[in-house]
Amino acid sequence: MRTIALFLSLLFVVTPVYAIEDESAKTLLENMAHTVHQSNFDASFVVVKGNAMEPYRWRHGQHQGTELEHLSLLNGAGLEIIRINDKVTYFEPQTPAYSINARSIAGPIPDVLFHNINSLEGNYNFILGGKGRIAGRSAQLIRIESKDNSKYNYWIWLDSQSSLVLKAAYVNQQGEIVEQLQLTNVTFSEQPALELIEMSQKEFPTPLPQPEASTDLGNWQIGWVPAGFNLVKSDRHNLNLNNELADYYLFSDGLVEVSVFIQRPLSNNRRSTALTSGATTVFVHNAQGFDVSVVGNIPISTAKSIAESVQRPSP
Amino acid sequence: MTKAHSTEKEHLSALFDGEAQLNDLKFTEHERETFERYALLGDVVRAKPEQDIFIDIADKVAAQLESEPVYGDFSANKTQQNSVDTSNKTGDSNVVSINWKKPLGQIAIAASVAMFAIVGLQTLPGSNESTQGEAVPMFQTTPVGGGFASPVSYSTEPALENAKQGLRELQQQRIGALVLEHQRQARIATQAQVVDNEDTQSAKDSN
Repeated sequence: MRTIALFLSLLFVVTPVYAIEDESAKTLLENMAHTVHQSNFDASFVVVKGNAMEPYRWRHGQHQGTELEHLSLLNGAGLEIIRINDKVTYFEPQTPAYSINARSIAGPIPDVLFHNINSLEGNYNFILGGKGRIAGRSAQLIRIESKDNSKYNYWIWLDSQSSLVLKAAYVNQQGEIVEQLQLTNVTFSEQPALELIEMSQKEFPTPLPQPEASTDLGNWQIGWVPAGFNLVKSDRHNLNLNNELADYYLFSDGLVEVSVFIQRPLSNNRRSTALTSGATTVFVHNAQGFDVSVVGNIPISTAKSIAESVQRPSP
Repeated sequence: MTKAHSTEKEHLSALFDGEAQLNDLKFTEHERETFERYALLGDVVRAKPEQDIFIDIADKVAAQLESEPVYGDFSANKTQQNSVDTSNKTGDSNVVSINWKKPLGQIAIAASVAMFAIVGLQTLPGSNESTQGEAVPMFQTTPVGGGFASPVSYSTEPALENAKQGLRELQQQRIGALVLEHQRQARIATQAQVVDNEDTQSAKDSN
């Protein structure tokens, strides 16, 4: 069949179908980002974490040169995220609304996929997978595979026609899906939704100040993080919600972020605790005189290794 | 229901049962529903398998939805309950704020923890550099389910029991706060990372 196809393509003008076969996984991902940034669409998707489920509505539009995006969590108290060009505002029930300067919403899909996937090349391989049918459309699988086995892989299925993401999943090193996201419907339109345009004419909070360049606190030695993770920031601050003081470190490998919190111990002689929700792990380690908590979309064993590598700096 | 009306319906019924001729009857627009219903009844009675039974409840659902409260609705309609309100003490500002049903901080924390399941750690390999990244065996998971899962304690000391309960609540609170803080910090971090990529992207977009 393939020989015939090749033979035909030699005889006739190459159709786009053959062109797609030649495209690399990376090009397809770049097309996906382009589609998301340029189209007017209204989509619904569901995120499945173990036996919990979160339904979202995702809308995007281009209106007179302004990019509009709205992501809404439809269950529980909810979450509303609105983006107008490079200003993203988060509305959550437990904190006052705040805005940040960013070119994409930090939602269930790693936002790096919408702007600069080249930054992932050091830590991940892009592999073209098979074709399948997702949400009633023909889909192409792209696997973003971690170069070492301390992290999850990210699989993403793109619409063969529009390049829009149709499904995505965090997959562990054994090939099991630990968290997945699936579009249930999507409608493309000529014009952006009226609500998006009306929304964009509102006033939003002033963006938070630019985070300062990361400096190592020096209060702690974090002995081990997986390859490719760099320190994004570190500081000492009170947590928003319960006002507890914590020494805080944030690491990122471009795709996932990992937080390390070091706090006063709640009690002595407690066993370490691990909690998971889909790809997200919370690992609480009780060290001598302090508690270390690691939070992020990483396997438990990795979170455990990070937590247990934290020490007081040697004098 | 008037006499004339029911006579008409008898005609309709007769038509559908094949006992009347079509030219005997004149249909008006408002009889469309009755028409459909008799057609459906006829199919059911005659058990036509090739006919899908379709009951139209869309209108009813739509009517129901009309009266439902709306959350985070960005329409300019301010009369709607729970829609965006542009309230400000100085009056005529245009600042978006969503009328959340404000839960207490406690509830918010519980919700962020409720999705998590506790993982039994006895199956984890001992941690040292050499076992890094080794395949981890299947974990035992216990859903948190709104309350902190913990082994049932047979302590007969109520005071001790209360202390344990208090500690569990503290732990749960802390973990909830950590999860939310991580989310927030990760979002803010995208700001720094995006600025680095701004130039590459704008070059790409202009193509």
